[in-house]
Amino acid sequence: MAGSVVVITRDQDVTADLVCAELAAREVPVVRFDLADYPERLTQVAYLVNGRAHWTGALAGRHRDVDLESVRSVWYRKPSEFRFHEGLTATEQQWCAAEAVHGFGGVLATIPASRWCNHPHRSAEAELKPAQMAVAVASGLRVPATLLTNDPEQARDFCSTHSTDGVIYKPLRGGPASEAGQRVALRATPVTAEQITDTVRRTTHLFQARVPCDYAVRLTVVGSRLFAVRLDPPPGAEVTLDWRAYPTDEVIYTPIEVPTSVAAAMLRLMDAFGIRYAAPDFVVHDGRWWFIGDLNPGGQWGWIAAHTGLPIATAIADELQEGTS
Amino acid sequence: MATHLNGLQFRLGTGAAEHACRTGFHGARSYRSEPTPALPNPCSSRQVARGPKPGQTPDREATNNETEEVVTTALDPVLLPFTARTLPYSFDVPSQPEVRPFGLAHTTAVPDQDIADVSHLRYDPARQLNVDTTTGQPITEPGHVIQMATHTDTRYDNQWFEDKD
Repeated sequence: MAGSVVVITRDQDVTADLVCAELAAREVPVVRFDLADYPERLTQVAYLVNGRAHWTGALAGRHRDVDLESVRSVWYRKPSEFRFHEGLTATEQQWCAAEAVHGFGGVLATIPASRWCNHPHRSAEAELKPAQMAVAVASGLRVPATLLTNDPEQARDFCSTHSTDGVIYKPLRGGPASEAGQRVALRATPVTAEQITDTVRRTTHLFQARVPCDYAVRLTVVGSRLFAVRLDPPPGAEVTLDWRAYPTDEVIYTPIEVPTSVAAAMLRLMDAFGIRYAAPDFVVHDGRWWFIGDLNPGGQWGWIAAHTGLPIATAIADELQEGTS
Repeated sequence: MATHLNGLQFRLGTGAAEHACRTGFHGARSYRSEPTPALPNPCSSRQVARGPKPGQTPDREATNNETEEVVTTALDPVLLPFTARTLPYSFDVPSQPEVRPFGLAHTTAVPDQDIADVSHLRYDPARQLNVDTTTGQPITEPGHVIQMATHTDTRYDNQWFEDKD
């Protein structure tokens, strides 16, 4: 299939570099830009004419143009936001942003979802943890017993019910990034009924029955290819619930096989959301029961590839090069 | 297999979807999808079969045609979601414990040294790659030590650290 691969991500996304280099080596035309390029450094010209049910025109960038009619595939990775003229007031910038989201984003969004990895609408749906979990179960994956509530009493009851193995609290969307002038992280944390306070009332809280974890697995799914890596804590390290708490370079990474039933269920989950990429986290219990924790439809993979040599960049390049219609 | 109508709507097990056969990491195997399987019994003592190796495409289990459906309410289209170029520091002082949300009471400080420094990288829009300003070479050059830490936001990993862009 002819046409360009469009890569939408921020400039210093070094993970995207791996795929861009791979595509360049294959002589596949690539056009990379960030949403921050628009509108001052990226020009949009899109026409809709009678009798033609799709937009025609181009996006003209710093060095390359995208013909809207010959997009082979789109890799929507980690773009930053639109960047507007610095002379604009905040009100003017907000208005420009709304127009750009609908006018620029809207045109891009009309490119068929099958050509995206991943279509941002599909990713947005797949990021909703309650949806992830329900669809995961429907797809045949195991999910820990979970409570979403702002009712402190229900939270206490849940903790009491699952007191044998324990309960964890974890955020639905991560932490606040910073507070009181310092960076902060919010990771999965064990909690007990006695620790639950009435401040659960402030918003939705996610409580999950703790699954006795033999080891954690980071699974990277690209199309129908699966790359599973077992994550073990550094030797001598205190065992924590979340491998992200360990220094990245000290975690022990071991490529492993995926049970057939888990692999099949995982692909059904991907199909259900209409996505072609995800980096889900699993915990493995009793050496064989895989429980999915997060789907991560836009999850990182560069560091996994660097530590294992797994050809994830090649797999993504394959997906983008192949495209679909 | 999947439908998306005015937001979030999923239908599973409505038929067999095919997956292309591709060459995997440790060798090539051919796979073809099968109808949606029955949900496994978490209490079953059945041994899980060993499956595909990393990078391989898996088989789909041959089972029944049971249909599972999950439908949620419609969502407004998000068009193009993005993340902030730089996350401004919040200097908000946490509320008193009796007010502060239970979840936020579990935040922990992230030392600066835990954030990868990418200040030595410069994006070259002509090559569409980042160049290490200390060596002048793209970071993807063979032999270059790729510091592929999650230096940008990892919001999609349910963590969110500040960018160094």
